Amino acid sequence: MELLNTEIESSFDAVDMLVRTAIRLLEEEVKELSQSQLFNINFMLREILNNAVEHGNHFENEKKVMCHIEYEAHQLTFRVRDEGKGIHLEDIPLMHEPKDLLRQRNRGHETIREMAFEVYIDQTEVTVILKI
Amino acid sequence: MAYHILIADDATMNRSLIRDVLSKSLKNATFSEAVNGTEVLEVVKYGAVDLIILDLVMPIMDGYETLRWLKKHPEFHDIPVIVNSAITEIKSIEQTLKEGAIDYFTKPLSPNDMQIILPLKARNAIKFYEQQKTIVSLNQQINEELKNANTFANILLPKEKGMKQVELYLKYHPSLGIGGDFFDCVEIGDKVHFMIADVTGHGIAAGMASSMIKVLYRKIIETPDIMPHEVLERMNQSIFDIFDFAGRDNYFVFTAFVGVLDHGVLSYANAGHPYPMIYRAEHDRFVEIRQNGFLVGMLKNVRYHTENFQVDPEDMIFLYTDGLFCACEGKDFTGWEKVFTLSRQLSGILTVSPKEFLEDLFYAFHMIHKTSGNDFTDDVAMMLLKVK
Amino acid sequence: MEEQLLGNCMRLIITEGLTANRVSDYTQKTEALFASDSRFDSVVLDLSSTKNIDSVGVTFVIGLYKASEEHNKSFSVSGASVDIMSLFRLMKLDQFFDLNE
Repeated sequence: MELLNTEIESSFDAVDMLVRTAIRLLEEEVKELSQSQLFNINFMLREILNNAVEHGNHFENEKKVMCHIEYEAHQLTFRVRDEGKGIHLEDIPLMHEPKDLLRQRNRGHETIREMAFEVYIDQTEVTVILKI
Repeated sequence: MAYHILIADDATMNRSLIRDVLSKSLKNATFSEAVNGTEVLEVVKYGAVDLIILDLVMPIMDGYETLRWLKKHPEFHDIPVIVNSAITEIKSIEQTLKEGAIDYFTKPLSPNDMQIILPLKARNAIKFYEQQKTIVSLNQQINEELKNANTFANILLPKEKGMKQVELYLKYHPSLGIGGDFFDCVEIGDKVHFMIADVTGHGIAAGMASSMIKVLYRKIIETPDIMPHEVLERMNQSIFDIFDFAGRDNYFVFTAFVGVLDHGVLSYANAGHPYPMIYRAEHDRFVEIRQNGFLVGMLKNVRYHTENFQVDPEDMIFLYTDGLFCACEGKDFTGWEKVFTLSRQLSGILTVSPKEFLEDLFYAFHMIHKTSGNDFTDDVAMMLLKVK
Repeated sequence: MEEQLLGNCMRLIITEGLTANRVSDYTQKTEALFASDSRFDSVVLDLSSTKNIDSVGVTFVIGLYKASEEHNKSFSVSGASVDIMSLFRLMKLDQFFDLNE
């Protein structure tokens, strides 16, 4: 069952709105999800979408991020795709973060793996699977 | 500073005119003259020339050919050339500028050309050439320094031979000849101590940091029976004790994995480093060592945790830095799984020749990055310990 | 983000989510706070209204902790939900500051 199939522009605000919508949707349609699982999905989705927006699309307005959520036989599949390979923008807001914090932040994916998600990456598309 | 200007034109009158104009406005200039391209080549080969005023239409070897020759020869291709001609068609002007002439003027020279424009063009061209020479010389200096630094960095690498309990295989590919990836392996008594670390960034500053880590590490492991988590904790503490981070930006932050092998028991602690893999020979399988931890150098009083893992003879411990799978700045989210997948695919080679395994894996990632239009942008370090 | 000075304690209440789109704003405010004349010995980050958090938010918390340390102020987090506390534990942050109820 397809729960969500949409695209957003490349901004953190758009990610925020999408994730809030997605979580509400999951809460309604997939009753077996616990609060903790919803929280983890919230964190994971933000991580992947933020990465797509920042590193994939470099915050470029014309580039979109596609997000697809599917629910089938006790398994949730999340797919996020960016439009990769763009020119680097000079002024990327969070690049002004001190190097050590930026390094720490870039390790969010390890946290996601600790949360029992399976992660697959193929060029510009990330697929995350959660078995419920 | 005396500038030497070469005027090439087959008409004597033109040469005199240009020489007059330039000698009036450029106080320190000396001049040579040439009537054709062949003479131009003789003059430049003879001594230093800072500017060439080149007529395009000359007998024997014309301006176009001369220009091309100059640009083809590294010793002369930086000398600025201002071409001139009676030809006003845009195609020939375009052609000579494309071939590398720095400027162009047409004959006959108007009074303005003579008094104002030509001298200014000449002056600008000479200035540009001076700047070029400075850049080239600085570049040479930097390259020399990098070579020295690289030699020094190679001295820091651990010795691959001579250990009783493990066979050590290494592959090190710093992105700028010197880098922030660091690994070490040393046998002390009947224990094998090893570590791999990755300093934020790459290049000279990172290289300096990784040299310091080596010294710190070697000093710390002198303590008998020290546990991996203690090694990390002491390294972290030392950094805050020794260095003054008054500002926000801390360049001495690194991930690290520390291990001690003692009679088949591998004890380890991880400070945010990509998960190492162990090849279990008996089962022909790779397993990950999954442990998380804070980066070293981020915060004081960080605590780490030692865990243990049983290894058997012929097993191999494989460590690497994220430069292997991560081709873009900040994008270390991608490609980790590929290390696992590719390692599995290459496990046949691993058992036969660990050295070749490392080379093949490195090459595979090189090709992966190439097909996405990238290349390794960070330092790559790989270390493999085969348990004897 | 609301700022409340209660005695010697500066309470920072996150009302809108600890997420990438908000963090630069929070960072600016906290930097201004540390640079200002306000007298406070402790910083409490109140997360009782916070449901949304991402890794940028987590590094904001680390940055805030570091800044507090540098300015010799104590730091703690209050009101974090069970899920947020688990996240902090997963990221090994519980060793640095108190996670109060």
